[in-house]
Order: sequence, then C-alpha cells, then structure tokens
Amino acid sequence: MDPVALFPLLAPIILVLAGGLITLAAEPFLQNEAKHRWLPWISVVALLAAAVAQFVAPTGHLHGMFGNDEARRWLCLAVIAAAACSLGGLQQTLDRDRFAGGESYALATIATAGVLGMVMSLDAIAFFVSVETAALAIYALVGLRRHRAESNEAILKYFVMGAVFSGIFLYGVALMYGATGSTRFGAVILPERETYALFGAALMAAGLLFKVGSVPFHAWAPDAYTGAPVAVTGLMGAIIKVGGFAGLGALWLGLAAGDGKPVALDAVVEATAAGRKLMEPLQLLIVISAILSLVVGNFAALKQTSVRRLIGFSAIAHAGYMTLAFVLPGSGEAIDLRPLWLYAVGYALATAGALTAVAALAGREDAKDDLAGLHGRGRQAPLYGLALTIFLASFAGLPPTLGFIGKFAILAQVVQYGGWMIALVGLIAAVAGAGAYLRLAVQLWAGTPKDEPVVGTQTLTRWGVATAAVLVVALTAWPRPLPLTQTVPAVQANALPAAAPPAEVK
Amino acid sequence: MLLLAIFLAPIAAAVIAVLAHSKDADQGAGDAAHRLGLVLAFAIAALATPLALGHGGSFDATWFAVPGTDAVVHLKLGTDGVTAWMVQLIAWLTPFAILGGRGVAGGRMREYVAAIFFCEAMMLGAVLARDLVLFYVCYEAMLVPILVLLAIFGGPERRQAALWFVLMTMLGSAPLLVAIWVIIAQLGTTDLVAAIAGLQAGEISANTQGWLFWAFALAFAVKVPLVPLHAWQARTYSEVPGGAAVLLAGAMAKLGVYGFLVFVLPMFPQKSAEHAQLFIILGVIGAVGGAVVALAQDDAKRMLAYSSLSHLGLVVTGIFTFQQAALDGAVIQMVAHGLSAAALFLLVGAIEERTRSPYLDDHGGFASKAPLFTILFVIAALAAAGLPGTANFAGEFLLLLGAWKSAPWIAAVAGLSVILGAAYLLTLVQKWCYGKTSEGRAEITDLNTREALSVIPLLAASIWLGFQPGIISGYGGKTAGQLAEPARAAAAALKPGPVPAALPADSAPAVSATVEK
Repeated sequence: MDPVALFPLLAPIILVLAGGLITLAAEPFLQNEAKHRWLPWISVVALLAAAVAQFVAPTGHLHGMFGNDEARRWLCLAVIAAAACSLGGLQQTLDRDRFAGGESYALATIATAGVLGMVMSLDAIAFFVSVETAALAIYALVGLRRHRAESNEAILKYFVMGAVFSGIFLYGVALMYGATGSTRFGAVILPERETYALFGAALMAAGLLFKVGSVPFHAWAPDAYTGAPVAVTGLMGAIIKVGGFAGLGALWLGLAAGDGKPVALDAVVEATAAGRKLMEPLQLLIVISAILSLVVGNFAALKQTSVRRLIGFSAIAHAGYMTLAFVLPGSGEAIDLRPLWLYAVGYALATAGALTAVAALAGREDAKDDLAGLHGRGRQAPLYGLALTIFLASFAGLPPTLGFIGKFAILAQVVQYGGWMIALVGLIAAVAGAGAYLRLAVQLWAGTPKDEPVVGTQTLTRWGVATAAVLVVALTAWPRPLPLTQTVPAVQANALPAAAPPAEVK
Repeated sequence: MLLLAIFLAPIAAAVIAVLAHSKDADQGAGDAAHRLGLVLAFAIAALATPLALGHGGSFDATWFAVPGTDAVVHLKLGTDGVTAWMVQLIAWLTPFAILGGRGVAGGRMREYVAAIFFCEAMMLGAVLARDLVLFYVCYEAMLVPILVLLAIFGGPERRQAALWFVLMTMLGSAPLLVAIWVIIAQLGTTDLVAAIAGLQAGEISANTQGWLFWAFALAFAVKVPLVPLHAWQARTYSEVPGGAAVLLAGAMAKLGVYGFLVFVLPMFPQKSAEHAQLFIILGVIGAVGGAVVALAQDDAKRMLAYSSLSHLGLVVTGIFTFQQAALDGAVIQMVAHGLSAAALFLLVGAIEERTRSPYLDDHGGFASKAPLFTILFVIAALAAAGLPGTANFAGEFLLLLGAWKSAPWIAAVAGLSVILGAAYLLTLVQKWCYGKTSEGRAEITDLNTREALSVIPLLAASIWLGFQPGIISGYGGKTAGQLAEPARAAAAALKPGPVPAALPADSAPAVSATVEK
C-alpha cells in the first residue's frame, strides 16, 4: 500500500513519536539548564502538531489495526492536551530540582504516543504493543527520584504488578484468538468456542481494569501515585486511564457486535444474542468492580493528607464512575458508550491540570504536596489556586465543569437502564469525595503561608494549567463541539470504513 | 434575549473583574476593583428591572444532548411574577453585597467581586431556568463561589462551616439529580413545561411520583432550610463575611422557597396536597423553634441565622396552605426578608469588622458613640420584626391571614414567631445600642459613608414596598396563585369539607403560567 496514504490517520502518533525521538536525540547536545529550558518545548510543539493532525485526520481504519472516529478523535485530543500540560509540570519540577538530564521529556512524549496508539487500536496486538510502549516509559518516569525510598517502592510495585497483568491480558488475548482465530476486537466467535471467548474476554477485562486502577485491581495506584513526582502522577493518571478505557470500550463494543468489523468507539450498537450471553456475566464483574471502586476510592480519599495519595484514591473512584458506563441496557436497547468518552475527556484535562498546578506549588522535591504544605498557596499564586479550585470542582462533579457533565451523562444512562439505586450510591459516594476535595480547596485559600514556594521556569506550566481550566469550563458551557453530546440515530453502523486510499475517505 | 443578557452579564462582569487586575494586591487595586464592581452590578440591576414590569419574553437554545438518552438539554430561560421578583432581589442585592465587602476584602477585592458576580450569575440562572438540568447546574454551581468566599474571607471556624454547607447541600441535591434522571428516562425531556405536562398526564406512575416529590422537596428543604435540615445554616452564616451573607441570607435561601413554588407545587400537585400538613407543621416548627433558639443566642450573626430560619419557615407554611393571601404574602416576604436580612447582616458585619466580635455581651452604648449606626440598626431590626409600614409587615400579615383562613391553629401558633421575633431583635438592639458601655473595648467609630450608603437604600426600599406591597403581589402573587392552583384543587378534592373559595376564573393553570412569554 502507498505509504503516503497511511499518513493522515497515523499522523498524530507518528508526530508525537517523532517529537519524542527528536527530544531524545537533542538531549546530549544541551547543557543541563538549557535542557530544561528547551527540550519540553520540542515535545510540546510536536504535541501541538499532532493535535492539529488529529483534528483534521480522517475517520476510518488501517488494515483493521488502527482506526479513528469522532470519539477517538476527542480522546486523542484530550490525551495530547493532558500530556502538554503535564510536560509543563515536568519542566517545572525538574528545573526546580536541578535534575541532571532531560530524557524524562522524551519518555513522557513517547508514553503519550503509546497512549494514542492504545486509543486508536482496533486489534489486541496493536493495543498490547501500544500499552507496553506507554507503560515502559511511565515506569521509568515513576522511578525518577532514585534516591527516595517511596519512589523505589512505587516503581517496584507498579512494574511487577504491571508485568503480571500484562501477562494476564496476553493470556486473555491468546484465549480469544483460540475462540475466534483473530486478534481483532469484535472478531466473530467460532461455533462451540464460547467458553474460551468468555474466559478470554474476562482476562482481557481484568488486565484493563488493572490499567485503569479499578478495585480490586487497584492496590498499586495509591503507592505508585505517591512515589512518582507530582507532574508524572498527573501524566500517568490522566492518559493511561483514557487508554485503558478505550481498550475496554473496544473490547465491549466488539463483543456486542461480534461481526469481525473494526469497532468505532462512538458506535451505538445493539448487542447480538451471542454477544449478550458473553457480556452478561462480564457485566457482573465490571459493575461490582465499579461499585467497590466508588466506595473505596471516595471514602479512602477522605482520610488522605498527601495530595498525590488523595488523587490516587480519587483516581480509583473515577475509574468506578467510568466503569459504570458498562452497565448493560435491557435487551433490544442499544449500547452507547459516549457518556464514558465524555467523562474521560473531562477527567484527563482535570487530572493533568490539577497535578500540574500542584507541582508548581509543591516546592523542591514536591515536599509540600500535603494539606499543610499547600496552606494558603492559592493566595500566593491566584492563577494556580483558581485553576486548581476549578479542577477540584470538576473531580467533585460540581457544575459548571466537565466533571459534572460526565457524571451526569454516565449516571443518567445508568438510571435509564433501571439502575437508579446504583446512581444514588454513586452520588452519595461523590459527596464523600467532595468532602475530600473540599478540604484541599479550603486549605488552598485559607491563611497566608510564611514562605514563598521554590519555583522553576513558569511559562509552559502557566499556559498549560490555564488552558486546561478554560477548557474544563468552556466545554461545559458549550459542549456541542464535542460530538459526544449530539443526538445520533438510535442504532448506527459500528464498522469503520477503510481509510485508504484517501479518495475514498469519508 | 433580555433574559439571556441578564444571565450572562454577571458572568461577563466576573471575567472582567478577574482580568482587570493589577499585579499588587494593595488598597488602591482593591478600590479600583470595588468601583468597577459597583458600576457593573448597578448596570446589571438596571438591566434586570424591566422584568418586574412584566417584560422579558423568553429564550430557548439547544445546549447538549444527553448521550444514551432521548433527552436534549436546552438553555431555556423564562420569566413570570415570582421569577421576576426573585431576579429583582438578586440583582439589586448584589451591589450592596459588594459595598459591604469592601472592609473585609481589602486588597483582595478583585477575588471578592469576581466570586460575588459568579454567584449572582448562577442564582439568576437558577431562577430564570425553565429546564431542569440548567436549573440543577446553576443551583449546584453557586456553591463554588460561596466556598471560595468562605475560604478566603471566612471566620475562624470556616473549615467546619464550609464542610457543613457543602456536604448538606450536596446530600440534599443528590436525590434531586436522580429524580431528574428518572424524569429523563421516563419522559425523555428535561423541559419544565413538558415535564409538568408529562407528570400531569400520569406518564410516571403515582408511586414513582411520590419518590420524585420527596427528592425535589428534600433539595429545597435543605436550601430554605426547613427543620430538621438546618444544621448548616447558623454555622455558615456566622462564618461568611457580612457582604457575602447579604447574598446568602438575602437571596440564596429564597431559592429553596422558590423551588417549592415553581417546581414542587406545579410538578406534584397531588403529592403536595397530600403532604401539605407535614410541611405546614415543619414550617411552623421552624418559625417558632427558630425564634426561640434565636432568643438564646449570644452571637448576633447566629441570631440572625436563626431569625432567617424562623421567617422562612413561616413562608413555607404559608405556601403549603395554598391560600391566595398566603401566597401573596410569601412573595412579598421573600423580597422583604431579603432586604431586612441584608441590612442587618451588613450592620452586624460593620461592627464585627471594627471589633472582631459579633457577641451580644461584648458591646453596648452604641446610641451615644455611634448614633448613625443606632438609627439604621433600629430601623432594620424593626423592619425584620415586621413593624407596620415595612414590607415585612405586609408579608407576615398576609401569610398569617392565609394561614388563618386555612386553619386558625396554624396562624395562632405561627403568630408566636412574630412576637418572639420582636423579642430577640429588641434584645439585640437593647444590648448593643442602649446597654452598658463595655469596658476595655476600643472606641467604636460610627458608620462611614460607604457603610451607611450600603444600608440606607435597602431600608428605604423596605419602607417604600411596605406602603406599596401591591407592586409585588399584583404580579408575583398572581403567578404564585397560578402555580399553586393545581395543588389547591388537589387539596380541595382530598378534603370532604367546604371547598375553599376558587380563584378568579381568568387565572390559568400552572402549565401556561410557566410558559408565559
């Protein structure tokens, strides 16, 4: 096939990857201070180029490996925005700590490319390669502070458990291949192989639930979140979760359709009878995991004093809300995951923004990322304080933020499917979570701190945080650019058209 | 378009206030922000005034479709008599909230003004909204600016206060959101008029309607607040700065009452009629209990908080009698209590700024040391106590008259709250203005021009409306009557006794009242 024809669809991934490699190649040629000044900008320019490329990228699929549709487009844009914001935080952190070496920027950029691959994958193998690309880079970033015990603990836990769950996911893929003769999401299940398919899908789902940090696969999250530098916590919390849910969504919609065609994430599909038979037991696993995550995440967050740990538990709670999108409708009703994508977009922006802002306020070595250390910082730095307040409101699901729209959409659907008790549990847990965010927000504005925080270079951080905050509010006030909030015909074709040659692009 | 302009203008004002910054947070920058805020706030109030004369029309635009459901959320704004007077109250109290914050906010006036404007926008959005989701968004979003105000400018117990305020309000409105989802799921709409029509047509089973009624009622009962959901109120009111309390006690608390009038009664007339007794009793407990507790307070701000509880309890009682006189009184009292509570909070705030103490026993002898304060404080206290000649008198009188028509015992018991109200307010006046001068306290200076100007217009308005209450009841009371008509009919059908006198034949049912173009 003409390689040029492949380019438009893959351009975002290629540009980000190229940006990462250029950053890596440029690193040895710069002095230490200059590294922190210039390298992030190379990466950010590449990310912005990728955002433009994704904005104009066609929808369709390439050989059933990678695909693009309206939901994937917005997830990719959210991942890119979150990564750009986090790069600002990373620059801030490393510059402030006088960190020797600038490979971290390249690693963060490559991780972003990996997550873009996860989002756009139509095939379990393509997905797995992308996961590992992202995960290996993130492992290295989590362990950035080699001299700190909690960093070593974090990386060890995350790496070992990540490896185990990668194995579990792969075993699921192997079983699925046995059941279908294909590694593609949504392949046709061969006759009398339903049991293999069920176990395969369950193991794949378990691997993905680990990635998104859902209870009971969540044990790594608080420790990994605490051991990493704050800026890395933001990056990993924001983008890995989006990628993981994109995989889970592709698996789910694939099971529903079961016709071997490439899966569009914004598709509204009615599950086939065979698909429903597989999805009903899986739904039980996923919904129990969701409710446990809601309760554990929100209530444990109440007790935390470290912001990273707070966000760690909050990430578990948010994974719970997002998994609620997998509640099955009654038979005859179509499956629609668009509320999940809406939530994911808001979550990625708010997480990256919040932790970048905390990174800017936390001082050297992120020593002041706890409630006492952030006392009154909002008064010192009103931009970060205001933005952080907006992000916390978004986590709590308060309007007018994307967090509200996301929670509203997901739980509205749950009620639509008859689960109003689940929705009420979710909301009451959300009030507990709101208490945790509230403590932080009040702390941020109360009193006047005695010292000025040590800060590094600011420009990128400021722009990143401000842009994320504006997007979180503006996309709520006017969400119609998000195609995820437009009405679609009740059931639409789930298959993506082939992307090449370009003349046929839709 | 006028309605959209009224909704968006304060948002624009908040953005202007944030952007028009100077680097240093000094007194000069604070003064600039103060002046800018005042000009914008008065401009918005002027913009909103035509609503009281029945102008306004409506606005409707698609906002977003709720994915996975049939519902499309609209940015739908409308107005009627009750809405118009709520808008007046909110829009005209805002400049006084800004005036009253100047002393506390110092160099941080910019943050103060921005938060006040954002709060104003959300309150205006909530009263203008004719879409359930839009209403909910605004209703919840107003928590954020209040929290910011509380965190930056609050008293020593602010963390406790913020926690109680937010958690109770959110717990109260969580079922409301579930109820909205149930309406979306079963009726496929978020439009208020369509929802009322669907509920009236029985498209939701009576059993579910019962749950929905409680979900809506709970959310509004927390906001009013009704006993036993009032735990947040005194804690919050005593910690917010005086200027912010103007909006909180003066306007935000009325949103609960507004919710009962505009959402609960028209949407669930049958359930409202069935449970009217309960709400009347809760209202009376609040009215009398609040007054008794207020009498026992040694902190002036807490006393005013319980006084709010007492006055608004009476309003809820009046609404659930479904009597036209009581409904007229309810709308008048919403405005009147807004004015008098705002004036009292501003005056107490002024004393607190000077002495850092809102306690009754700490002060005395203001009559000789601060004559201007004393004059205004006495007028405000008498207005709050419902002295004839103030709007509060007209409101309370009509509320009690309506209650009497419904059942004399209600009026007899609730009437106690008026007497007790006079008792605690006069205690406050007596201690602060005429009591013994306290030893060891710094000299109290009299009100300055800004402080005096922030109170005098409120009291003047209260007296003017006291002589002309028809201005409010003519439009607001009529709408309230129309909104309550289905519930009244349902209540009449429940009771085998003599049917209460019907409304004039020209009054339309609630459905058309809310669409009034």
